[in-house]
Amino acid sequence: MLLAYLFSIVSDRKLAEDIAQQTLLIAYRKINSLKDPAAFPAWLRGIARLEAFSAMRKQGREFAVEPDAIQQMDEVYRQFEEQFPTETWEERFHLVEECYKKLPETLQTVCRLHYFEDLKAREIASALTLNLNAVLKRLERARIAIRDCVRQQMTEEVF
Amino acid sequence: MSDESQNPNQPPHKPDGWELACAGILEAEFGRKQSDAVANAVAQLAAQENKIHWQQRVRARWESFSLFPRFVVSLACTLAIGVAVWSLWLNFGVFLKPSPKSSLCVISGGLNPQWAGSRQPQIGESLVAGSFKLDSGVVELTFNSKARVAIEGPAQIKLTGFNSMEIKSGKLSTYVPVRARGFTVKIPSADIVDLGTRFGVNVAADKSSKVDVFEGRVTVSPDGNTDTNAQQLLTQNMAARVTRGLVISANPLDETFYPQPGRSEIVHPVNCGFDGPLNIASGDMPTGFGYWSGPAYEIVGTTLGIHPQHGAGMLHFQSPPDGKDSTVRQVMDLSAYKAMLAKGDVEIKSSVFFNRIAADNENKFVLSVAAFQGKPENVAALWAQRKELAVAVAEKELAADADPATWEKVEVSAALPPQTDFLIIEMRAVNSGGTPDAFTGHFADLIDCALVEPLYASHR
Repeated sequence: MLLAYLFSIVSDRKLAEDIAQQTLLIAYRKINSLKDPAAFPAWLRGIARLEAFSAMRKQGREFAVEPDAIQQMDEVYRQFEEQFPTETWEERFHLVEECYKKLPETLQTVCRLHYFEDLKAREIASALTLNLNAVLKRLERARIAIRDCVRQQMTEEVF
Repeated sequence: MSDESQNPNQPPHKPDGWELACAGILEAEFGRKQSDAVANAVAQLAAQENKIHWQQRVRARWESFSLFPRFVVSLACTLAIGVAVWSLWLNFGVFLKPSPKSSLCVISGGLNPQWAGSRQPQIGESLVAGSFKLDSGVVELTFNSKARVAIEGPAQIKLTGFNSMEIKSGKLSTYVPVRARGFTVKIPSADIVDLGTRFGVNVAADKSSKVDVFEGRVTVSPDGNTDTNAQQLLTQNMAARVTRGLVISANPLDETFYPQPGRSEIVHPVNCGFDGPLNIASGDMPTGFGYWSGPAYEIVGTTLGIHPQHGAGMLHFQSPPDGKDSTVRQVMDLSAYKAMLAKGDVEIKSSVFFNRIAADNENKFVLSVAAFQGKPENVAALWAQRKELAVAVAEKELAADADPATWEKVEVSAALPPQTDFLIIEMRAVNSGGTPDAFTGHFADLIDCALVEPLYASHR
């Protein structure tokens, strides 16, 4: 859960792992200050968010994401917890994997290369003999399709 | 034409919170292994988190005591506190169980069902907890949780909860949407828990069972064995045989060996709630998948006293310069649903909400859908000749009332043949007078499509 959350904010795997480690250390030290045990995941995300901001500032990086979007993302995580109170994070996130599987094959391919095989958009472009913009556009379309599918499954009634 | 080069008018894309969350989850959770350093830190914290969870559960149960009728609580106070806490804890499950008269599910479909005995429950009838024997035919039950089950006779079943049942003999298969995850089917000597979305089970006369997973995941837990290692997780295209509490891998069977409940796959047009400025373009016909296009329209929030039907935005039809109807269209890719469509009896259902202000003279709206084979090339010509070229068409007109407080829903449906590859969907505000500037306050919101598959018997 933590890594996924951090990756969304910093978009860099190595940095997200460093921040996750730092966050877990802080959480371990401060766990006795947590008043409401039910708030544990939100509390952990709060620490992670502050750590991410501070790490980005230290490295002089710019934020690629809007503060509003981060706030909305917190809301999404809260919704995952509310809707599937007894499930593990792995089970909750399975929904995203299901939506990924529903993508048309062309979009699944770029998603797989980028998110699972860790290729940069430029590398994917040369592997698939596409131009860079086409790859970026496909990745964007894939993310939007997955988002719409996950959001729909989480928020709407069965047709 | 490459589908990436289109839609030049689209503003640069800024991901929202949902998109960010999904991208992070994809990156971090699937197909990867976290680094050892993070894994160690997680393990350390997990021990602490367990402790916290335990405290949380104790607190939740304790707080629930206030719901208990007061006289029982005062009675409990006369007992030693430790004994009282323990007994209430043991009895806590009572609150979660349905009363014997609660309706647990509805008979939502049937193919010549013959129940044992003189009483023949009908489609639409609610069923309460109890045992039922189906001599022949197929019935579909939709539980209150929205889990759907097709049962084929001869079969003996028992309804046990809002999201659970038991099968003593016969065949069934399930469709468990996200909200009904955890749907449990008890079979002789084990429980099957569906973690979404479809599985089949066949209980033979000797009480041995076969479980086949068509999609998603299930766990099979042998009776009386609390060891989580004894649980078997089965995923797509896996199967197991369960005999006297032993779970053994087996060759998977095709889903056609089981009856299948009707199901619907929701296929959203992109930006179906018109809640953001994404995926819209101005022009005539869209030339590729996944964005709205029309000559004159905008996405707005509350306008002229009309609030969006859903979410923050809605579609505002404007008047094209030539006094024509105002149209907005999208091309939708259905290639991901080929396997479902191949069965040949899938229906598309589409719906949208329309609204208008009283001051506009024009009152007619139309929702149209047309399905095509092949690639979306020359979309304008395909649409113009859809009656000849489409493999399915559906259209419905609405004469909208003059009350801006009410959104009126239009629904269309059509059978989709297996060769369907894509859909074109159109919302139209009709300008019957041909006057310029006919549309000041014409709106649409929340357009949706679903592919609906009927109930099947098994093909034995």
